[in-house]
Amino acid sequence: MSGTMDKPIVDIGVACNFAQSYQWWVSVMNLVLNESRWGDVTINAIRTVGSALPDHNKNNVIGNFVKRNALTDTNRTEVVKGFLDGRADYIFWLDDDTAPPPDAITRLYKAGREFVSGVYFLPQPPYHPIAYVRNAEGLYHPVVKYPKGALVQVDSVGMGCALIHKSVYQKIKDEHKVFVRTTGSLAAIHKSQIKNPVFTSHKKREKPFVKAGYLSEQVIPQAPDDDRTFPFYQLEYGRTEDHYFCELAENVGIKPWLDTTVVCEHWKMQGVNNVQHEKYELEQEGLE
Amino acid sequence: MKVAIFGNVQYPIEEGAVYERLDIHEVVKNNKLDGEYDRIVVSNCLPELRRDKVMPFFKLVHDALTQRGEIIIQVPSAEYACKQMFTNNHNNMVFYMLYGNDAVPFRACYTLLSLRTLVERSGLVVRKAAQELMEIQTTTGEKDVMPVHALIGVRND
Repeated sequence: MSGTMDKPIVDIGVACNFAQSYQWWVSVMNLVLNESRWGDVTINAIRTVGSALPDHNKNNVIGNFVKRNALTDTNRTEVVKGFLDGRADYIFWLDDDTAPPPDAITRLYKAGREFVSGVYFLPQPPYHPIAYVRNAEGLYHPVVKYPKGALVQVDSVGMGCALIHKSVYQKIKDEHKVFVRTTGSLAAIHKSQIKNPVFTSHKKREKPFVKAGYLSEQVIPQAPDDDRTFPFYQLEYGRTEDHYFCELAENVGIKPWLDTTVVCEHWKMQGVNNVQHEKYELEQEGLE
Repeated sequence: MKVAIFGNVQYPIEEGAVYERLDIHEVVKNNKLDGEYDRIVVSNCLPELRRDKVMPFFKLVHDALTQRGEIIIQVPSAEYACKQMFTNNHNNMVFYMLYGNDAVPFRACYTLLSLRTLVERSGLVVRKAAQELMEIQTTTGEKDVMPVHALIGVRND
C-alpha cells in the first residue's frame, strides 16, 4: 500500500456510452467527494473509455493517462493497461448507468477481498442482481434469494461496481499466454492448459473444425511486435466481457465476492435497485 | 492453533490444533474470556444471550482473538423462520429457530444484516456472510437441516 497515511490508492474506471443521466453524475461526484473526505482509500485517477465493448476497432478512450496517436485501439482492457502502468493498488469499475452509494469503495475495500463487487440489478423484471453462479453445464444463473447483508463468493459479477486489486490482473497476466486466433483476435490460455508443441506459424491456414467432440482452431502465440494489450475482457459466444474476465480470474484461483450491503441504482429511464428486486421476489412468493 | 468452541456442535478436528469448549453464559456472567485464540466458533448459541449482553460478548471475543484470528458464527436464519411463520408453513424446526427449546430458550433472533452489523460494530472485519444449511439433531434423535446465517469475522486492528 502506498497511498496517503497508508490508505490504498484507487483508480476509478468507467465504461461510458455517449451521455449519462444527471442522476448518475451526481452519484459519481458524491462518491469521489465522500471517499476523498472521509473514505479509507485515496482516489488517484478516473479512467474512462468510450464504450464497454472490447472490440479494439470501435472504442475511444477519453480519459486514460496513456497517450495515443489514434482513437481506434482502446477498450476496457486499455483502461486496465493505464491502471497497471500507474501507481494505484485497486481499480474500482463503474458503468455509466450504475450509481453506487457514496462510501462504496471504502466498504468494498473493508471486505478485505482482492475482487469484490457491490450489487446492482437488471433494469427490467425480474430485476435480478448482475451476479451469477455457474451450473454444471457452464451456464450462468443470477444470484437470487440472498439475505440482506450477504458477503458471498460467486462465479461472476458485472463490472458496474467492482473493486479489483492490481495483483489479480498481474496474476492473470503471469499465468496465461496470449494466442492469436484465426480471426486475428486474441485469446488468453492458462499455461497449464497448453500442450506442446506450440507452433509460431502454420503452413496452411485452416478454418476451425470439430472433431471427436473437440473444437479445434489454429492459433499462434502473440508476436512480440503485436502491441495489442492483454485481453482481460472479451465478448465471445454471446457472453458479456465480465464473464470472460471472471473466468480468467478463476483460472488463477480468484473468484469474485458479492457484498449485498453495497447497493447501486441502475439508471436507465428510471433508477432500479433492490426495492424493485425484493418487491418482485415477494410477489412471486405471494407475500405481496 | 488454539480454538474455542461455544455451542453444542460437532466441529471438524484439525491436526495440531488445541480445542477448548466454553459456555457462553459463563463467559458473559463473568465478563471474562481468558486466553488467546486463533479461532472462536460460536455455533447456534448466540440467540441464548439477552440482547444487552451481545455486544459485551463480542467485545470479549474481539479482545481474545489473536491478530488475524477469526470468529465463526452460526445462528438460525430469522428471515427464513419469519417467512415460514408469515405463510403458515411453520413446524417444530421453525419454532425452534425462533424460540429455542425448554432447556435453552432463545432471547433474540438475527437477520444476516443485523448480525453482520453487530460484528462490524465490535471492530471485527467481516470476511464472509452467507446463508447455509446446518444439520441438526433433535433430542429424540431425528435429523433435519436448518437454514442458518454463517459469518466469519477477522480481527485486524
